[in-house]
Amino acid sequence: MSHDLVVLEDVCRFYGEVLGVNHINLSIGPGITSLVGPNGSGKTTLLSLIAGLIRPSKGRISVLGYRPDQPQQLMRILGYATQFDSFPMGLTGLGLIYSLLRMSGYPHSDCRKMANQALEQVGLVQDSHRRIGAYSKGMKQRLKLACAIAHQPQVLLLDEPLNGLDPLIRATIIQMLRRLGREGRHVIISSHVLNEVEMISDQVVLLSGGYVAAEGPIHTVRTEIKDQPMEFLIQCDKPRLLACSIFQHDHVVEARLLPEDQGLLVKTRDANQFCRTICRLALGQVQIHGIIPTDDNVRSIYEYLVGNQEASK
Amino acid sequence: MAVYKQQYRPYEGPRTSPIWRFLVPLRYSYAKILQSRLLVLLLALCMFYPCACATIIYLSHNSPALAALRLRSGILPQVDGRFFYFFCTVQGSLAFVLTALIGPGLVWPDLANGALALYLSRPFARLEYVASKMTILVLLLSTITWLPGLVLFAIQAGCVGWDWAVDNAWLAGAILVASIVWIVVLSLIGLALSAWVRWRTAAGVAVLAVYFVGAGLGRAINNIWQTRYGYLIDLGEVMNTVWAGLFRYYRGPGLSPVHAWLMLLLVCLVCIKALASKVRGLEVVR
Amino acid sequence: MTGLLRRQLWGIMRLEIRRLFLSRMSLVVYLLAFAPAILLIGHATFETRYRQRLRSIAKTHKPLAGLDQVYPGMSMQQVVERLGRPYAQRFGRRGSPTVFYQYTDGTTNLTVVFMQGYVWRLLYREPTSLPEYLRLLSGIFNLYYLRLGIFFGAVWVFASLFRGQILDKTIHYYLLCPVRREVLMAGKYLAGLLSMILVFDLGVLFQWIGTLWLFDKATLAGYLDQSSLRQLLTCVAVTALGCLGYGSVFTAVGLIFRNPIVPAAAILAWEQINPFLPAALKPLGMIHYLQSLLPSSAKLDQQIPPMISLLIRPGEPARPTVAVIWIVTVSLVLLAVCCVLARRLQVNYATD
Repeated sequence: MSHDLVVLEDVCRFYGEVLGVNHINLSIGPGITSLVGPNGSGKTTLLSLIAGLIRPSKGRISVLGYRPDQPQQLMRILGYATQFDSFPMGLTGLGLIYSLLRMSGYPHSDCRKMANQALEQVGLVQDSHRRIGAYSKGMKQRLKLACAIAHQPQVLLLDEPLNGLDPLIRATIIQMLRRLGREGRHVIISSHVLNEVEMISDQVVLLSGGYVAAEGPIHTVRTEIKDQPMEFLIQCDKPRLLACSIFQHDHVVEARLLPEDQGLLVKTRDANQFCRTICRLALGQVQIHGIIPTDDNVRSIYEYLVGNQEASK
Repeated sequence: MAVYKQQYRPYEGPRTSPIWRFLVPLRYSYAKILQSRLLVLLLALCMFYPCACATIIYLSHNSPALAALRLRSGILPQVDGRFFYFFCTVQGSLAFVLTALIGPGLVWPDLANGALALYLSRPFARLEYVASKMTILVLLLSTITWLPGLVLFAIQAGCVGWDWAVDNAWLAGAILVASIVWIVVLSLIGLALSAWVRWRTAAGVAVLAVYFVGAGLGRAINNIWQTRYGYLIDLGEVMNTVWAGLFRYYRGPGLSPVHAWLMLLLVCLVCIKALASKVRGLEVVR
Repeated sequence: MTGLLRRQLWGIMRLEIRRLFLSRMSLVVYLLAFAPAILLIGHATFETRYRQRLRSIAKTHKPLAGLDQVYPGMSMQQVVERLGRPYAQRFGRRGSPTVFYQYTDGTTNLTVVFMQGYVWRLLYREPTSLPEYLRLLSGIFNLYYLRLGIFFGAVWVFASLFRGQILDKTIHYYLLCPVRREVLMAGKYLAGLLSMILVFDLGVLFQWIGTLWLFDKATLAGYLDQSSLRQLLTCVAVTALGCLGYGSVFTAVGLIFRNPIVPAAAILAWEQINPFLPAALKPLGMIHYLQSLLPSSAKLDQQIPPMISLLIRPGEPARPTVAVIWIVTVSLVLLAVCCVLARRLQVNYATD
């Protein structure tokens, strides 16, 4: 078992007859990894399996060399902000984090310091002495994040961490996650917000129906989707001429002129050949201002890999 | 003209009568309740005593059957106020057990999951919500209390004759009143505890405790203070006193029926107050 | 025990004790534990004032003879000749020929009920003696405290140690701490046990204080000299053992069953019918061993039906050492089972 990876080997989890996740093989390294998928695709199940809150029906999991059934070791290096908005009764924000740190075995003075640090990171210091029952949804969300990061874990599992946050706090939290990723921690996020996933993720794991549909850096994943032609927007001075020239090549399946001289939208089966063709044409009579890949993003990948399956259901 | 005025078309079709809307949540509750095999088994067990009573009534009017079973006619109990008093005691105890099992799960999940706000954000008042939840228990408990009670009365009337039915019509009234009073008290206690106690388990324990701890403490009060007023907190004793009064059955010295009725009224009022303070769309925590 | 383990255990207990002592839910446990004590202390307060009042009345209205010098059938005039004028006189309801005369010698109160001018009934209210009070106390302990108070307290506290938090959807906060599940189990159980023992043993102590408060130093000294304090200590120990035993049972029940109310009701029924069970089955109930440890059998009043007196007095009590060993062993076995269950505990709130 690798000591710097979160490894899942042929992991399956069934809830009775209902499939949670099936045959999951993943190796997640440091940085920010996003789990993306529609509702019920198994994102939360996967996070809970990694945290040991549920056991796999089959397969093995190792988190930096620790097994999930050894909470006394695993939870020292792992923090998990779950999707549940429930908190133990009658506690304040500070009281909850302090108590959890005391349960983890930290001495009193350290607990106070660490709890305050965590609350500061999520911008909740001012409200730390209020009872959690009186918190708003966004504050509860931040408190869950604070609980997860309070003991400075190496692996951070965050289930929909940006839900219910206002734009300013959202930006702060994204910054914090980026920093944690840069520090070499394993930050695994489950999210629906695709543009934010794209903004912060180093790699994505696309889940669909309990299976991994794709994994890796976004660009790599896109290039591996062979059955979907890649789409480029070309901005040039003579789009009509370029369209005529480029359409003669076999790898080009579609060329569409956008209105008001916005450019030419080209779909190609082979990105490398397309680049060579464009280079050749650029050396000729067409002056090219820019080439922008328009479907090399999480949203497109999601639509290609998940949208088709969802539509066929 | 504003865009919404041009495009928005509210529902203009027919609506159901508001009077019967409280029945809507019932179907889901029953579906859930009857999923439990234990409850179905318990419901079946609750029919054992009425069946035994029906057999007794039938046998007591069937000399050939008695002779075939080699039983004397005097061995079987007489069908009178005492007979139905014991019927109510047995079925009432079973009704209590059913309430302890079902009652706690009625309001608590709605409060815990914020479903109350969903109900009350529709044209569905708090009173209708409580009525809806209460109807679940009322209907279920009716099937094991006054319904079989009246069936027994009808069997006896069928065996003896119309004159008996006319002379003892008060018994039918007593069965109905005794059962309905107990059902209402149990339902209100079940709902109030379900609303006040956060967990289903704890609410179930609380229902049991109201009955058993009340009885224990009542006895303790009687012994410490040399009084009989301790029985006022013994729900079983209070109800037995009310039933004994209704069935004209003398149980010996104990509570007076007036005190027992007043105590039941007080219990109901406290439960209604408890429900009124908890069944709200929003709970403010400071 | 390593420092880390101790800190973790204390961390868990700290949070749990706080929850068990300070939440609104804990009011039920306080009520169960202190209700008899409140009754006894209330009664003691009333009785003290009543006795003082009788003493002060006796100074001004002392009867001419002993209160036992009147008999049913005597005329009103004969009674007044024997005892003098009553300190209080009351008439029956309008139209009723009943008259009540009250006399006191400072300790006993006598109500003479006249019917149409002749003594119909004599109602003596004598001060209850210490042994009688202690029997009463023992009855309350046996019939209410042990069978109902501690039982329901244990269901309330221990069945919700895990199940309550699963229903609240907060158990994952505990499971996400770097703590062995066994330590978590032990911490929760110990917190529940300490809270229960503290509250219920305090309840026992207050009951005794409420009872002994009524008596003067001389009576108490005589009582204490007889080393009868052993009864109090036994009650305290039996309470602690009851909490230990029922605690382990309901911790396991809370971990095994999604709706612990069904097994709790079944156990309650089993414990209540224990005295009526055949001799071979009696030892299967916790109450049999707890009652076997009690020094004296309780006697509540003369009107107790034979069925209830059976509840109070176990037929063939177990030997104290056997009883203690049985309760402790069963508790340890159940706690071991709980540890296994806690290790296997998964968080899947959707199914709960």
